[in-house]
Amino acid sequence: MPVTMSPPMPNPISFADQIRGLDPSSLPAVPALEEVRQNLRLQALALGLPTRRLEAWHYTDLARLLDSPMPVDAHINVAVPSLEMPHIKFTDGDMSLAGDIDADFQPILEMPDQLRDIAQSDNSEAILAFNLALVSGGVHLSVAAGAQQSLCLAYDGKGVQHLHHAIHVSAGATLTLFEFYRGEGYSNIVSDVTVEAGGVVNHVKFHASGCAIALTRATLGASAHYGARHVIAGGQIARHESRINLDGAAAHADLSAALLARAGAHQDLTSVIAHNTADTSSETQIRSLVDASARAVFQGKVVVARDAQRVDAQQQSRALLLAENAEMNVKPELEIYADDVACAHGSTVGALDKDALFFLRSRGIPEGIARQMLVRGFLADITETLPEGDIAEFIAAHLDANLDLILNTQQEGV
Amino acid sequence: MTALLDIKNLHARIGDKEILRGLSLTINAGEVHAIMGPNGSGKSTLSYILAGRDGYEITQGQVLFNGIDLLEKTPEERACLGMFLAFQYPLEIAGVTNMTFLKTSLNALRRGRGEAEMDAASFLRLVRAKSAELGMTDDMLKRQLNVGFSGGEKKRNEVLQMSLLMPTLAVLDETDSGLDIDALRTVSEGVNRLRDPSRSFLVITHYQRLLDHITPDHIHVMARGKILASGGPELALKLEAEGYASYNEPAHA
Repeated sequence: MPVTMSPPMPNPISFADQIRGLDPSSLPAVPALEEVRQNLRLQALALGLPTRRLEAWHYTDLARLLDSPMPVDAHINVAVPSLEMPHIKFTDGDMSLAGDIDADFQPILEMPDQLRDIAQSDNSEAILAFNLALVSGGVHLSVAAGAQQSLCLAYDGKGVQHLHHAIHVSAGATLTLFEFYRGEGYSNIVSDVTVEAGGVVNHVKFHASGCAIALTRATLGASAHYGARHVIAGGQIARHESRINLDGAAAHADLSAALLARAGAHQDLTSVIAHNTADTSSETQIRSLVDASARAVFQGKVVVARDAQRVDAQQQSRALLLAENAEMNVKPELEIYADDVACAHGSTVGALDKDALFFLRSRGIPEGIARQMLVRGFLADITETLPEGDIAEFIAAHLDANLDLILNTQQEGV
Repeated sequence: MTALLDIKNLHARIGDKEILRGLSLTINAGEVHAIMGPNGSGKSTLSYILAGRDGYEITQGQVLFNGIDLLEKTPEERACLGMFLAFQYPLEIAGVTNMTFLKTSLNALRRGRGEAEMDAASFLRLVRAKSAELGMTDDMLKRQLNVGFSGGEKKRNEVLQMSLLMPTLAVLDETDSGLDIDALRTVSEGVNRLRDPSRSFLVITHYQRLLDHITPDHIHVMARGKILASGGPELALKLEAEGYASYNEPAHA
């Protein structure tokens, strides 16, 4: 597959300035919402981009990260995959669709009532206020009861785009949503996902390059299942946040993420899983690989409501630091108000096991390959559990390229 | 004739602590040598230095392997030259299946020796045959490398690696530790099958019982970082009867 390296090139205007300079009047018009959007924009500017003074952004000072003219990292230029599913590409806010979507689908800008509801219900957070004030596209998708739908959403470009998705999965339906982040721009993406009883969402992400602040807000009905597999392979600034409400009995959330923070990158995986009902369960598995001068963040919060008995919530974060000045910030939080629950969290941070490396080398395996085997093995809990098929194959191939980039850089430094 | 392994007056330390203090040992092709000695005598250090583990400072002496300066070589180069260490505590490696590991290892070795890689079908036939000899199930090949293996299973797996890689010198570091009688017999049979005029063994052990199964040509007693006595198989029986007490004098006495 074609893999080319982009030379580092400074971005003349910082993303922060580009975001602050955006005006709804310069974006695709939503006539019924002009006033709401102007007001939201003023509110967003007053709030400002999040800084470390906000608890939720303590380790990811977005205002500072986005403020300096940023050198574009020498990323791997990943081609858009040819997958057997419809494909919507957002390039600097422009939307293009390839393939046929069986489910009820409309561009979000053609649903002003829905946007207005969202805008009026929730705008206290700057990220949401910016998103709704400056929204230039997104999908409204509704999968009918018992139906199956796969969809690829790809984000690309060099500029700034704010997208909002509203996704509804009816009872017993299954949606496989594959989000693919590439290019050199900044994307702020908010996805609202509701899953009715017995519905299933497989939410796979592959972040190849570019800056992204993504927030998924999922609400699950009884016996609904939300499975996230996020592979953050590249990207200078990445924050992928999941807020999952387990509202129906026996609802289950399964969140797995691999972060590969290359030199200079800042990658943040944040989750808030709220067990609002008895007999719900969740599992969170995070693997972070952090190279020199890079930082990875995992904030994982589990909330168990007062009457939510027999909840099972498991969370594990493991980080592998490849250099002395690699940094990992882990903040697990459990807020448990019920008394009959099984909740556990664990976190480890360490370097590559020298004894394991020696063991492999003593069997004739060259050091570089031995390191690769150990790192791949470390990530296997995430990468080996991707839903089988062309998405998994695509990710496996590009993950290898990203790993090679990390490990080769790493070897030069040794 | 060049000795297969020639260790001359080897001195080695970890930090300020001198572990090997003038160890000399010569092993010729086809010979089986055993080193016995009390805890802390430097037996495991010797095996790690031969295999090329980091962290030891060689202050004096040399190690020749078929006339080649072994200490100059990386662990993987030593493996390609025919050196093999069966670990006392084999490592568990999550996320890497035993089969993938064995195939990567065998093919790395073949590449290192300038040979063609083995194709998947031939490799599968070979590994099935060798593992069956050791009473290993297919399941043990599919599982992650040594993860959740019992002590005995790990040691069988070490012998499996040895029988695939076909070294010219195999160092067995307390391969008998953690083995029950049946596992000890299986593992010993695996080693004995590999005995060959062109292959040598250095068996490191505390106890006589392994040497009941793997009969050595030469036995050495190691204490305080060097070899204090050498002899034939009768030496092991003497040690078993009398213990190491007579070799355990403090160095400064």
